[in-house]
Amino acid sequence: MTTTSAPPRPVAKGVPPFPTKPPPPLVAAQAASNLSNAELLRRMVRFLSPVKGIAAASCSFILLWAFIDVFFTRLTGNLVSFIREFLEKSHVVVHESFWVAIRHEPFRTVVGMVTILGLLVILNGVVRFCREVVNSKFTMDMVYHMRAAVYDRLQRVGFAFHDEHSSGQLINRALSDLQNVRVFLQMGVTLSIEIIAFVLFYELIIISINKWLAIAAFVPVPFWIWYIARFSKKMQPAQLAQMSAGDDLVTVFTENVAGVHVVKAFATEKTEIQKYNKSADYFFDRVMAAVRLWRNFVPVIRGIASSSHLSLLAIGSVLVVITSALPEEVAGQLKGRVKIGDLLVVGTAMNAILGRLQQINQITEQYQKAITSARRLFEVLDAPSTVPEFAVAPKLPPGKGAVDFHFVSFGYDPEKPVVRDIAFDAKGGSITALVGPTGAGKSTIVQLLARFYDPQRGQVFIDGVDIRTVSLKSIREAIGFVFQETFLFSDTVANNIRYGHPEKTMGDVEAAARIAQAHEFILELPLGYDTMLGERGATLSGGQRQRLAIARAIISNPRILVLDDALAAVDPETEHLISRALEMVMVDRTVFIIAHRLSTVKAADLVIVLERGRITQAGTHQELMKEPGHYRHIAEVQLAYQEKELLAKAGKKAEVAAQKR
Amino acid sequence: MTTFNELMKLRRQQRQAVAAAKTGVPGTRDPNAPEDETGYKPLEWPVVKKLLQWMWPYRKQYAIALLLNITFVLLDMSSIPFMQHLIDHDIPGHRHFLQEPIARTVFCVSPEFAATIRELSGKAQSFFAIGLTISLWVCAVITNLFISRFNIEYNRRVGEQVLFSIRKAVFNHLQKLSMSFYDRTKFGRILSRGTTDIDTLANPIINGVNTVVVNIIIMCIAVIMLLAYDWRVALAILWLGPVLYGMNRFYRKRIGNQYRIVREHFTRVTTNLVENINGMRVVTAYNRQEDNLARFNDLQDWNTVNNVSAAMMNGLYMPLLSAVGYIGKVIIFIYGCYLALQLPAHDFYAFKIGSLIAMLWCWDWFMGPVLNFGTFQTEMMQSMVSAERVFALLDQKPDVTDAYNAFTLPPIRGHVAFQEVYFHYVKGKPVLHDINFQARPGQTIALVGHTGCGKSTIMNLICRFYLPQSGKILVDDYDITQVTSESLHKQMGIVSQNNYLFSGTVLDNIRYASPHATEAQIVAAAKQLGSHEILENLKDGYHTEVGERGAAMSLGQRQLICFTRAFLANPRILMLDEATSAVDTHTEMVIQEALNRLVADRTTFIVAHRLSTVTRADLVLVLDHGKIIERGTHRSLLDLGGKYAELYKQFTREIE
Repeated sequence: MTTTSAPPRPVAKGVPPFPTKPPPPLVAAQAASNLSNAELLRRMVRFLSPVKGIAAASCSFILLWAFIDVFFTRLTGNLVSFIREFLEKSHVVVHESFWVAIRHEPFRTVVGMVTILGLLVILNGVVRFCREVVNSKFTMDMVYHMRAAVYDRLQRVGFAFHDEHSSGQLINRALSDLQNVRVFLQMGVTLSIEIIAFVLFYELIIISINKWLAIAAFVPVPFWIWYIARFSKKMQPAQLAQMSAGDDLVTVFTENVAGVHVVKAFATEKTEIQKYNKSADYFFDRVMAAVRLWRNFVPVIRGIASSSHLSLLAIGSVLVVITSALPEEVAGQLKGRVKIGDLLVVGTAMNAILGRLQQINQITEQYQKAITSARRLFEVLDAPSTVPEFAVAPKLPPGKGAVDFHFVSFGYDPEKPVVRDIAFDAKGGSITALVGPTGAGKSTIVQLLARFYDPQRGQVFIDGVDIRTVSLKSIREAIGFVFQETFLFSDTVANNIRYGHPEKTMGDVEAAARIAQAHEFILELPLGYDTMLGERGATLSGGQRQRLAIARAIISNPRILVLDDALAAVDPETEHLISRALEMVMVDRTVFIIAHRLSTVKAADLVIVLERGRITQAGTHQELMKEPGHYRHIAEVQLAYQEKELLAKAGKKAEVAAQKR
Repeated sequence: MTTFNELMKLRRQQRQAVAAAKTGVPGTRDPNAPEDETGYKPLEWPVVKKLLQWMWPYRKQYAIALLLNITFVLLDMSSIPFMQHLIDHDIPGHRHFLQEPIARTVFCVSPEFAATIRELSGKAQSFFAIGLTISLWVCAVITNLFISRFNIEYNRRVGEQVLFSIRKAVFNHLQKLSMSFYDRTKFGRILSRGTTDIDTLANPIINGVNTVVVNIIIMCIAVIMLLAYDWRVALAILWLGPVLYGMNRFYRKRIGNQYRIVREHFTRVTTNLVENINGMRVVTAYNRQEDNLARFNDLQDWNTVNNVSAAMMNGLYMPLLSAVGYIGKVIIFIYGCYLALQLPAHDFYAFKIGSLIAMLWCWDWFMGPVLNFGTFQTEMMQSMVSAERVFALLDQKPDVTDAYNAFTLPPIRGHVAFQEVYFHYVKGKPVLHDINFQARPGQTIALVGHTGCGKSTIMNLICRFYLPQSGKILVDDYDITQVTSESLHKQMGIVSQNNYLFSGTVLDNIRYASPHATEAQIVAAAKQLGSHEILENLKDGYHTEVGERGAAMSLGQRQLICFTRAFLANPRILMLDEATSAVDTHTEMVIQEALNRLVADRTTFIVAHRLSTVTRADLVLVLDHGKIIERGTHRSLLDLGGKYAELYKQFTREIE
C-alpha cells in the first residue's frame, strides 16, 4: 500500500446533516503587543465595569472617612483654642475637687466637645470598618473576574499559544502580571480618591484659617513632588539590579543543592564556595547601592518636610502674636485670625498633605508595572482560539473509529510546515504505528487527529466525518490519549483515573485499572484508590504513572486510542509490564502508537515511517523489512546486538552439542 | 462570584467547621501540608542566644549604629519641649528659657544679652523669643538630617553583613555535609533553609536590637516627660499602656492566623492554576474545561471569604486601638484643664496649654512603642521558626568526615576491592551483605539487578558518600577511609542518570571539573570522544547556554556533555549510571561510541540499562537483595543459566 500516491478522494463523505464546510477561522484581534499605552489603560479600566457598584461604594466610604478625619482634626484644634482662651483669661483658681468642678463651666463645654470628638471617633471606626470590608470585597470581586477570564482563556486558547509560551511564562502572566494590573486598578480607584480627598480637605482647612499660611503651605509642594519623582526614577534600576542579583544568588544555591552529587563526585566544593561567595558579595553590593540611594534621599525629603513644618510654625506663631494683641472686638471680626489650636491643625494638615502626595509615587510606579503586565495579560486574553468551532456543532456520529488523513499539511508556524501531504487510511480497529527520527512529525500527526491544531491544508476524517464540522468535545471523547510524559493532578488515584469522566463509578475505575495492570500496585498504596497524588501526595514510579495514564485513557472506552511515545521513559522491566497492559487495551479499538522500540511496532497492521515531515514508507513490518530504507536501517541497528548474541548463543549450543556427540 | 449574603454564609460555615474540627479548617488548611513554613514559635533563649552570637563579631558596629539611632530619637523628641515652650512662653511674651540661669551657662549667654531681651517691648520680645526657639529647633532638625544620612546606611550595613555571614556559613556547611544528608532531606527544604529562612532572619538581625533598645528609650522618655509635665495626668493615662499592648497582641495573633489561612488557601488557587497550565494537554484531551473552571471559581470564592474575613478583623481592631488611644487624650484634655486652673496662668510653673499639647504628643510617642512591641514580637516569633531551622542545619554533623590523620591519596592505577562489606541506610534494613569483589585497573564492571538491589549503593560506597558498617573498601590497596575525600574525589568521576548540568555555556559545563582547561583542549577532548560534531552544531556551538539545569538541551545532548565533562576530568575510576530514556537512533549511536571511548583505559562501574553495555563488560555482577548472586562475563553467565540468563531472556523476548 503506497499511501503517498492515493488518488484525491471525494470530500462529500459527510452525512447530509453535517455542515460540509468547516467554520471560518476567527480573525485575530489587534495584537496586544501593538496597543498604545492609552489603549491599554482603557482596556484595563474595562476590568472595573463588572464591579462598578461596589467600586463606587468603596470610593464613597473613603470620601466619608477622609471627611470625618479632617473634621476631627479641625475640632481638636478648636478645643485647644477654647481651652487656651479661658486659661489665658481666667485668673480664677479652682479649689473644688475634680468631680465637682467638672460639672461647671468651662468644663461643661470641654466635656461636651470631647464627647462630640468621641462620637466622631466611633463614627470613624464604623466607616473604616465598612471601608475595609467593602474595599476587600471590591478587590476580590475584580480579581475573581480577571482570574476566571484568564483561566478560561488559557484552557481554550489552543495549543499553538501554549507552544509559543513556556508554562512558566503563562503562570507568571496569570499570577503576577494579573496581580500588577489588579493592584494598579485598585490603587487608581481607591488610593487616588484618598489622596485627592485628603489633600483637598486639608488645603481647604488651611485656606480657611489664613491665606498667608495657605500660601506658605503650598510652597514646598512642587519641590516635594519633583524630588520624589526624580528619586523613584533613580531607585527603580537599583531595585531591579538588587532583585536580579538576589535571583542569581538563589540560582547558584539551587543548582548546587540539585547537583550535589556532581559537586561531591568531582570534589568541586571549594570552587562552588568561591562561586557562591562571589555571587553573595555582588548581591551585598547591590543591596548597599540601593541603601545609599535611599540614604541620600531621606535627609532631603525630611528636610523639605521639616522646613515647611517649621516655617509654618514660625509664621503661625507670629500671626498668633499679632492677632491676639488686638483688642477682642477687632480680633473677633478679623478674617485670618490665627489661634493656638490652628497652629496644631496646620501642623497636622501639612504632615497629611505631604504624606499623601508621597503616595502619588506609588501609583505612578505601579502604572509602569501595570502597563508592561497588561500588554502580556491581553496577549493571553486576546489570543484567538486556534481551532474554531461551530456555535451549534453536531456530535461525532458513532462508528468503529476509522481514521483518514487526506493530504494534510501543517506547521506550527505556517511558513515552516512540519508535516506535508500526509495521507493514509487506518481502518476501524486497526493498529497504526508511527516511526521515525525525533522531529519527524509523529506527535504532530496524532495531535492533528485530536484537533489540538487545524491543518493548513487537507482534511482529517474520523468515521468519514471531517473533524472540523463536529464539536470538539465529541472528538476528544472519541479519543483516549496517553502522553509521553504522564501528568497527574493533585487528587486521589481514583479521581485521576476518572479525570475526563467524573460520573464514572468506582467499579468502572477499578475495571479500567485492572485492564491497565494498575490495580495491584494501587491496592498497595497507603489508601488504595483514595491515595492523594501530585505535589504533596504519594510518589509513583514512571511505570506506575504510565499505567494510570492508560487507565485514564480507556475508562470511557474510546473508539480511538493514541499512545504518544508512552514507553520512552521507563526501564525494560516496567516496559514489559506496560506492554502487557497495552496488549489488553488495544483490542477492539483503532490504535495509534508512536514508539522507538521495534518490539512494540512489530504488531501493527500499518507502520508509517516519517522523515522530515513526509511519509517515506508505509506497510507492515514484514513488507518494510523487505525494502531498503529508514525502517530497515533502524531495525538492523536495534537488532544488531541481539542478533549477534542470539547467533553466538546458537553457535555455542551447536558447539556444546557437537562436544556431547 | 459570591454576593455579600452568600459570603457571610460561607464564612459562618467555615467557622462552624473550625469549631467542629479543631484540627483544621476545611477548605482552608490542607491536612497534607508537610511543613508549616510560616509558623510561630515562642521566643526561646537558646535560639536568641545563637542569633546574638552571630551578631557578636559586629558588636562595635552595632554599638555605633545604636548610638546614632538613640541620638536621632532624642533630637526628634526634642520637638515636644520646643513646641511647649513656643506656645506657653514665647507667644505670650514670657521669659525665654535662655534667660534662665542654667540655660544661660549651658548656651554661654552673657547676662548683658539677657538683660537686653528683657528690655524689649511685649510684642518684640515675643518675636525675638519665637525666632530664638525656632532657630534652636532648626539646629536640632539639621543635626538630625545629618545623622539620618549615616544611620540609615550604617544600620543596614551591619545587619546585612551579619546576614551574609550566615548565608555564606550555611552554604559552606552544606558543602561539608555528606550525601546521606541530601538523600534524607527533601530538596525543597534544603532550598528554603538557604533562601527564605535566611531572608526571614533579616528582620531580627537588621532591626532587632535597634527596635528593642530604641523603643524602650522612646517609651522611657515619653513616660518621664509625661510625669514631668504632670505626674497626676501621667498616672491617669499610663494604665492604658498595658491595655493597648494586650489588645494589640491579641489582634496580631488573630490576624496572623487569618493571614496564614489566606496564604495557605491562596496556594491552592495557584496550585490549581499551575497544574492546569502544565497539564493543559490532558485537560483538553479529556474535555475538562468547564469542570475545571467551576472548581477554580470555587477556590476563588473561598479566597474571597478568607480575605474579607481578614479585612473585617482589620476593620474592627484598628479603630478599636485608636479608640483606646483616644481615651488617653480625653483624660489629658479634661484632667489637664482642671490642673491648669489650680495655679494662676501667669505663673511660670503653672500647667499651661502648651504642656497640655506636649502631653498629647508624648502620649502619641508613648503609644508607638507599645504597639511596635506587639508587632515586633509577632515578627520575632515568625523568625524564631526560621532561625531554629537554620541553626539546626548548621549544627548538623557530616556523617562522613576525613580522619584526623587522613593523608592525600597518591595518583592511583584504579584497582578497587570490596572486602566483606556490609551496609544499611536504616538500622535493621540491610542493603548490602558480604560484598566481595575486585576490579582491576582499566576494567569495566557492570552492575545488574532489579531496582533496589543495591547497585547504586555500591557506587555510593566507592565514592565514599557513605561508609560501610563493616568491611573495607580499598583503592590501590589504600583504605578509602584513611585518605582525604578531596584527593579521592579528584581521581574519580561520575556520570549520573539525570545528567546534571549547571546553568552556563556548554563550555563552562565541560570544564566544570577542570577549570583551567582551554577551549582548544576541550574541543580536542570532544573530538577524541566523538561528541564534537553534535556539540559544534548547537545554536552557538560550545558557547550555547544550556539553560537552568540544562533545560535547553535535549537528553542526548546533555548526556554527551556529561560524558565530555567526565572525559576531560580524566578520572582513574569512573562511575556511570546509564540513562534509560530513548533517544533517536543517530544520537544513540554517537552516545554508544562515546561511551566506548570514555570507559577505555579506566576502571569503570556501570549501572547498565543497555544490553550492549553489559555484553562488553569485563565483569558482570548480578545483585539480588543486596547480595552478589552471580559474577562473571556476559558469556559465562548466560551459560550458567541462572538469574542473569532469565533477565536476558526477558529482555530479548520483546525483540524476537
